[in-house]
Amino acid sequence: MLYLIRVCGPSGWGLLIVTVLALVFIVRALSRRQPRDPEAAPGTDTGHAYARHSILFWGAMAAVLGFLSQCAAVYTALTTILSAEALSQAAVQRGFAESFIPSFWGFGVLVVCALVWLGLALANRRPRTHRRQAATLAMIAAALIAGQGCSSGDRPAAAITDGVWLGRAGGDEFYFEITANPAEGFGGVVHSLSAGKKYGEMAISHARWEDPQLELIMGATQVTYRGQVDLARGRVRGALHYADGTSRDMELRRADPDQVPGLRARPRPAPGEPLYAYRSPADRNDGWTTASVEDVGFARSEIEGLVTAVIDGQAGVLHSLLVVRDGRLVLEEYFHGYGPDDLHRLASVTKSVASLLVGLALDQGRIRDLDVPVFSFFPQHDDLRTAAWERVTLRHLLTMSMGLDWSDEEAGRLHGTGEAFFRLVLARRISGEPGTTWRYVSANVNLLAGVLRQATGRQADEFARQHLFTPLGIERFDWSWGAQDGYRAMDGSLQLRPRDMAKLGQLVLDEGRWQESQIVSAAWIRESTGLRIPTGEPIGGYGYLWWVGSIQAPTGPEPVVLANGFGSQFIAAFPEQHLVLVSTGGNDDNGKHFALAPLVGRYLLGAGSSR
Amino acid sequence: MDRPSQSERLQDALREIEERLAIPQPARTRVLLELHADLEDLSRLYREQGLPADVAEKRALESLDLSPAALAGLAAVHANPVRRVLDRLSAQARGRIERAALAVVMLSAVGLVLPLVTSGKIFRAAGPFLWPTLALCLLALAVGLIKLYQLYVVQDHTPRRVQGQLHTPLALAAVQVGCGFAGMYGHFFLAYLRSRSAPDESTVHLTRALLGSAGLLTIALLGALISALIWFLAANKAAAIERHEAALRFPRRDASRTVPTAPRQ
Repeated sequence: MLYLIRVCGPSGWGLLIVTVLALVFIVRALSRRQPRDPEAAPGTDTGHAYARHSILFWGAMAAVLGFLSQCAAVYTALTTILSAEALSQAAVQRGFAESFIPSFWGFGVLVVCALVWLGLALANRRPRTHRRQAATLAMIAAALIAGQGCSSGDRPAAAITDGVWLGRAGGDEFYFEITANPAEGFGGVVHSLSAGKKYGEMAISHARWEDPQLELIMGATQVTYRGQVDLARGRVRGALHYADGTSRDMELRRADPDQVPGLRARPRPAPGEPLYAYRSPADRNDGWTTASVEDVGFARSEIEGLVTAVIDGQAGVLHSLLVVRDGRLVLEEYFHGYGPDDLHRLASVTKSVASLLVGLALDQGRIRDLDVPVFSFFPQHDDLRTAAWERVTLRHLLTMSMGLDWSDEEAGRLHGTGEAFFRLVLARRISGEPGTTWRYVSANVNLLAGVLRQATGRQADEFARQHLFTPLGIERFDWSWGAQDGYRAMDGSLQLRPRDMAKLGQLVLDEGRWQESQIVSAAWIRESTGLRIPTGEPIGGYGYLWWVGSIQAPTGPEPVVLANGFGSQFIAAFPEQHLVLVSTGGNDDNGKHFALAPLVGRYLLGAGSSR
Repeated sequence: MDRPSQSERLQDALREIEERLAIPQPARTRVLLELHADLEDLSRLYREQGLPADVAEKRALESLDLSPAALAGLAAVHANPVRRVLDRLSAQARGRIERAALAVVMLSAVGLVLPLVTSGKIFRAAGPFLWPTLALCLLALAVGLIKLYQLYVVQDHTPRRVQGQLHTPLALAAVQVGCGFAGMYGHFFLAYLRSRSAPDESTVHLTRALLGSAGLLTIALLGALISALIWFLAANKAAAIERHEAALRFPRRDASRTVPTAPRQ
């Protein structure tokens, strides 16, 4: 009903009132609440007749108002069409269809009223034996028409761009949000949710909509959805088609995006309420001292500007955003259904954690130095040892400069761990001079699982628990995904809570100290987070599995040491600002991995916030 | 207004006539009021000629043709099907709620069309067919406002004065709508002629015809609605005057029970 009123514009409420009035008269006439005047002369227009004619009158008023609405709507639409530079065929079709709604409404009311009026007239005039049948027939016809009208009113043929379309696969929910731009055609985004949390999104790079055929192409993943749309029922029957030729049936149902938990960064605020108002982080007795942003020299408005921009989607899909300054946690915000107790995948931030573990092993003398050949940690694969490999050291592994002959496709795709995977890597030919050329290959980093196992006698997760996580008060973590033969995937499968990620940042900022304890040696922190090799990437150079570069601030480039995980997983330490920033996110497939950086530069490192 | 002095003779005569009139209300009251006015006029004329009051009344009753044929003719004038429909129609806005609903309908219509009218473009789009429609609209408004002035300000309650030109605004409203539809067909016919000479531009001509028709019909319907509203006001005021007059002139009858009154909500 609200949809009908919205479509009909200013006349919607008028139509509603006239319809209600007609219904009131119908009920009055049927209930015969107005008794016939016994003293009235023959032919006198008594209450019965008055109520009967009122039905017809208000039905006619509805028709007139509905027709007037349609005329005005058609005029407005045509004026817009004639003045538009470009037209969306779907928008024209929708506008044309909607222009008929007030007319159908008004004339529908008139037809129902006329049938009731006819039934009542027949009931009054025919012999008593026929009255009841005639009246009943007319009433049934009116009820059928009214029922049909109401049911179609409840299921308006809304546009393909209205709301979002929900499809389910396994335990995941995919919300297709289709947008139309007269100049650019259709596009949109697919939101991926699981258990009320939006874990990612991907752009609909191209959409084709020719009623009832719908085709949505997600270019980033080379997945296409094709289906038949039933707009009136809010349903699409179709399937996802993958690049490898397989497909999967998926029915889409229309949903209200504001009613889907986790779909938006935050629930829509009440009218007049701001999108975000700052509040200090809660004290969770986990080792963090919390404070207000003003206590550490930030302007509240700048912090609110940053978080509002994140909620507004300017940083893509962020799940958490934490800021620590002077060792005090001053900002902790979660989005899209995530919370402080959720373990979050760190992706390649895991590599930087592996660097810390190597440092711990060095500090403990379990690794002699970084110039030890990598192969010396893999005696079980000595059969693969070559002279070229003898020159590849742990230092080369940590600086991603081993010189292995991976193709670009292999360098991007290969992940794994375990003895078989180690053999796969160790069997590669050395094609370049080790230590000369930086090349980001995650597969190589996984050798560190074998290195740590050989050096410490423990798997990486156990070693980390004992010597890194427990001293930092990190009680929960998960490093199980992708594990093989007990070895952990060192390139990106660790999961931590954002507050615990911030501890790692603070550890780096304080040169290996956490509160009163020196956990990792200051020498290792300085060495591993110093610039070791140029990368050619905009972000900067590379240390030992840490990115070392700068972020553009209003006052100039701001030095940063960065643990950088795919999808906007960041631990960023700004030594000169004594600042740690942590974020987790789901920007894997939307091209917004670094969308947070300019916001950080503007709001967090801006003139009003910096010292 | 003072109750007019009238003799038992006149009242008895009118009561007898009422019993012979087999027509529904409010036409019956209207016939009686007209007869009463005629009898009073004649009676006054005879009194002015020097006859005593009772003789003048008797002479008036004798002079006026009250035969069954004459009454049937009078009844046919006041109770024809069109007037019955109009009576029923005007009675629909007599209750408070109905009046409020009617006001909402008008406000919705005006709210809908006002932004289009104020821009002025709609008048240009409506084309040449706009002018007869606008003229009819203005005429209906003028007649209606004059009628309202007579009923509310001048308060001349003579039956013929009350009924005179009462339904003209509604008739003009209907003609406005007719003119709007005729204009719509005119637009499409012109588009057809233009498309025949320039087939490549037929889509443009058709679109412009649709635009002109929509604009014209919007104006015509709004004008008709406003005219109909004025007619509602006038017709209801006229009915109220007739009820009041009937109550004054036929005091022994309970006039309110035979006049269609909207049920109170």
